[in-house]
Formats: sequence, C-alpha cells, structure tokens
Amino acid sequence: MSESSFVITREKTPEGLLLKLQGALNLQTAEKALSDLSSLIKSGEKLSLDLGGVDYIDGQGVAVMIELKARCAARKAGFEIASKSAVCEKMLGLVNTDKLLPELPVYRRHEGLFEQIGGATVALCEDLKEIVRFVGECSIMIWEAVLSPSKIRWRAVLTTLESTGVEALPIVCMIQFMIGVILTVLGKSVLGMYGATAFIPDLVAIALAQELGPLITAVVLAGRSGAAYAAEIGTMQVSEEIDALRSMGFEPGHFLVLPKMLAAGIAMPCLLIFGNIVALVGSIIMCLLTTDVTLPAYVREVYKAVSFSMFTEGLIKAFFFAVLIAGISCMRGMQVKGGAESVGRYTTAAVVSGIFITILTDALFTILFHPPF
Amino acid sequence: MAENSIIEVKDLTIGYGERVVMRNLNFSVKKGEIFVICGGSGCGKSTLLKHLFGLYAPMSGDILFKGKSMVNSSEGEVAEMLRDMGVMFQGGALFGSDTLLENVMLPMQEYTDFSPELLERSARFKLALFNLSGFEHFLPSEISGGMKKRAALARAMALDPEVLFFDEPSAGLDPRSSASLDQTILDLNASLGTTIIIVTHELDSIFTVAQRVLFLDVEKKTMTALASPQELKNDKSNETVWNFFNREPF
Repeated sequence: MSESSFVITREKTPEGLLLKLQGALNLQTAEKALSDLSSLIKSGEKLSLDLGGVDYIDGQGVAVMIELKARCAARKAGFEIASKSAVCEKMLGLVNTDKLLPELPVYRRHEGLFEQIGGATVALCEDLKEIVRFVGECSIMIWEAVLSPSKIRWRAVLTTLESTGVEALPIVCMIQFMIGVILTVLGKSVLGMYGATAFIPDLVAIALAQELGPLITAVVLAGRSGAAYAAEIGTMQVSEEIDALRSMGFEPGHFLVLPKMLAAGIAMPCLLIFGNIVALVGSIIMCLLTTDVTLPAYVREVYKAVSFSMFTEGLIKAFFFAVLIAGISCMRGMQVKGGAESVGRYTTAAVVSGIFITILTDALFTILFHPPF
Repeated sequence: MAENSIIEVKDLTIGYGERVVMRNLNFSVKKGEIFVICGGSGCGKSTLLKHLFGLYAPMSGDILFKGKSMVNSSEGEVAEMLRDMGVMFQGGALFGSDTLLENVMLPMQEYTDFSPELLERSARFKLALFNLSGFEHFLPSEISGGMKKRAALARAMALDPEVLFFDEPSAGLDPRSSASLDQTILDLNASLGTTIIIVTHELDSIFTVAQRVLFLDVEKKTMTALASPQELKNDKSNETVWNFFNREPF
C-alpha cells in the first residue's frame, strides 16, 4: 500500500475546537490520528470535525471516528462531525455508527477462583455422568454382539487390529525391553545388598506378569491408539460423518466403537505376551552381563515364580484395560463439537482419561485378586 | 503492465503435480473492478483463484500484482503483497476456537500497532458492516452457514485490502442471503473502490455483480471467453459459453 498522509489543522471556536482533517484516514494513519485527536479532547468543550478534506477513509478510519466519539463522551466533551467529503459520507453511512457507540464490554470475562472451582466441579460431575452412560451403552452393545456375533463388522475389527496390534508391536517391544533392563538393574542394586541376586528373575517375572506388563502396555495403547481413535471419530464428528451415519440408520456406537473395542481387546493381551517375552530377554541379557545368574538358572527361577493364575491375571487386566481405553477414547471423540481445536482438546482428554481409567481399574483388580482384608 | 490493471496473468499454466488443470491463461483485472471467474464444476476455478493470491505456485507463467511478479518474488515480498489482499474461503475457514470478534481482530493484531480499543472498534465495525452486531462473542460453531460467510467476509476485510477474493460466496445460501451478499459486494466496491475477484457459477450473482466474466472451459482446459455477462449470454459463436449462460442441459 502506498504511503498515506494525514494532517490536522486546529481552529478555536466559541464552543471548543474545530479540527480540519485532510488526507487519508486508513490503516496506516488510523492509530496516529486517533492518538492526536484524542489528545485534543477537553472536558466541557466541543470537538467539531471537518472531514471535507478527507479524500480516503476505510474501515479503520470509521473505527477512529467511533472511538473518538466514545472518548469524548467519557470525558464529558461534545462531539460533532460538522462536514463530510463524499467518500466520508458513503463510508460513515454504511452502518449506524451510533449503535456501535456503547462502552466496549469487557473483552474477556475473568472468572473468580470460586467460579472456576464451581465450574470445574460441575464439569467433572457431567463428565462422570457421561462416562457412566457410555459404559452402560457399551455394555449393552457388547452383550448384543455376544448374542449375535454375525452382526459385528469383522472387516473393521481386522483393520483396526492391524493398526492397534501389529503396528504397535515394535514400540511396545522396545519399551518393554528397556523395562526389563531397568528392573534388572534396580533388582541387582537392592537384592545385591543381601546377596540375593539369584532372585532377580523372580522379581522381574512377577512384576511384569502381574503389574508392569499390563500397565506399560496400556499406557502405550492409550497414548497411541486411544489418541488415534479419538481424533478419527472427532474429525468425523466435525465433518458431519457421524450425522451421515445416523441419517442412514446406522448406530455410530455399533458401527465405529464396537470394532475398535473388540480389536483393542484382542490386540492388547497379544501385545502383553510379546512385550513380556521381550522384557525377559532384556532382563536375561542384563543378568548375564552383570550378575552370576546363568541362563538355565534364570529360566528355572521364572518358571518357579510365575504361576498360571498370575499369567491369567495379567491377561485379564490387559483385556479390560484395552476395552476401557478404546471405549473412553471413542467417547471423547463423540464429544467433539465445533472445529479443529475441539478435536485436539478431546484427543488430549482421551489419552488422560485412558491412563486414569487404567490405573483406577488396576487398583480395583489388585484389591479383587489380592484381598487386603 | 496493462494500463490500470492491478492483477495481470501471463501465459499461466496451473495444475497439481504433473496434471495440468488450465493452460495458456492470459488476462488482467482492472483496479476497482468486479471480476468473476466462472465455468463448469471441476474446471479449476478455485485452483486458479488460489494461484492468484499466491497460495499455489503455477507450473509455468507469471502473475503480476501491481506490476510485480508474485511467482518470482521472495516469500517476504509475497507476504507483503498479501497484506493488500483479503480472501473469503468457500466454507468460511473461520478459526473454530476463536469468537467472531477474535477472528476479525487477528489480522489487525498481527499487522498493525493499533491500540486494543481501536482494534476492537474496528473489528466491531467490520462485523456491523455485515449485520453481525450482537454476535461478536459467538463461536463459528454457534452461528448459521450464512453468518459464517459474512463473518469470513468481515475477516477478509479486516485490513481493508485493495483486492478481495471470494470463493463461491453464494454456495449454500438461501436466495435472500445470497442477494444480500451480492449487495454487500456492490457496496464495498462502490464505497471503498475495492477490486473484487469472485469465483462462482451462480448465474443470478454473476448478472448482478460482475463487470467482466472470465469463462474457463473444462474440456479445452483453458479460458475461452472474457467479456461482460450480458455479452457472454448473447454470444452464440461460443457454444459452451452460450449453453452455460443460458442454462442449457447437457
């Protein structure tokens, strides 16, 4: 845009000041014009503007006039536009500028502490209600699927199984390998103090089979597949694909959520088995390198330490974690409203809720399998 | 540069990857003109529009904005040129997490050193221009499709650009909303002298607002006519154009 010039000349009148404006009142000159004109406002005096010399005025120029009038009113000074050029007449006539005059409302309302706490509590209660409703819906859906498995969209289950299971295998194995190494190093430093390094395999195997294996795999599932489920369904929500499904008589829960829950429920125990084997490999390597434990001794100890019930406990946990993570992630996706920002927000919420529900369920299972009382 | 032209297109070939969408485009848009690009569905109207404001790089040829090449300019120079352009996308493309007021204020916040009061006054004025007073604090998801279009137009106008690009402004609007939008386009052009380039195939809008119309032929993959809408409607020498402007079925 070419450089614009803007000039103000003052003339004293009996009521106040007459300001003759000349040049262009636009994006380039607006801020300076407002600041110069505002400095001339005097309480109790009248500011008259002669816009006859203004040869160009755009939206910013009109905004200057509106703000100037508001400032005059605030300082109890008079304001009038004494004359206008043709361009000013046209621009100022586009809208009723008087309607835009009331004081600007507070641009962003700041909530007080109690309002924030109250709002968050209400939101939490609403969220819990939604989770309970969704769990109920999913339970009915699963029960109906058990009664008539032919109605399940098995092709969608297989596709999701590939992305949730097969494609997650490398990252799960890599993480579990490192967990095996870490547990071994920790076991050596603690058990070594008592000369009990021979029990490192017991520690690692029990921890992996019962707790860490399902937990770590669930966290990976929540972060990887849970986020993907929420983003996918959320985007479908934004682009009205969910509405389209409903309009065709499909139940989105049955169509989208059930295959994901089933796929996750199948994939997770498999991932757990593979992950635990790799974790044991990591532990064996570390043991052979840093302790006197031999390979036959390690295998013997693991065989002795891990019972069938421990193994199944881990698998049961893994199945429930997966179904819950998939379900809650899909629920978050369904909650998306609006646009891209909402998809991001609910995807994050899906991961957080997935991890939270995993740990909560783990605590319940631990109490159930090992009653403390 | 042709006299009084603000945009000049020279031997332009556009496409995606290896696929040519349009070739040998040569035309200029005059300062202060309402220029319509039309043609059948899928002919490349929106693609051409996106090339005109520098979103896509052409396969060959050049686009001059106020005499300066957009194709051979640096990113910084193109960004500078873009400050003189406003775009209204087909779906509005409003930022969903921002209110209408914030959407309109955004370009001003980025490109001007306006005080917060002036910023807000100006944004409110722009919204009022398009009958959106009272909806300043609504999110785009809370308003109708027609209002979204108007809000998008208010955002495109935020910096009072010299050239405004509209991609299918009337699409999805009821006849009265569409007519109001046409009137707004005429008012903007008359009061601010803004050059307006519109992609549309809505004949009513074309006849109401267009001063000149560029017709793109999907079969020939090039422009086949450039004249006033009335001239195109009456010109029987070009069958495709005549069929289009007289709503002849295939």
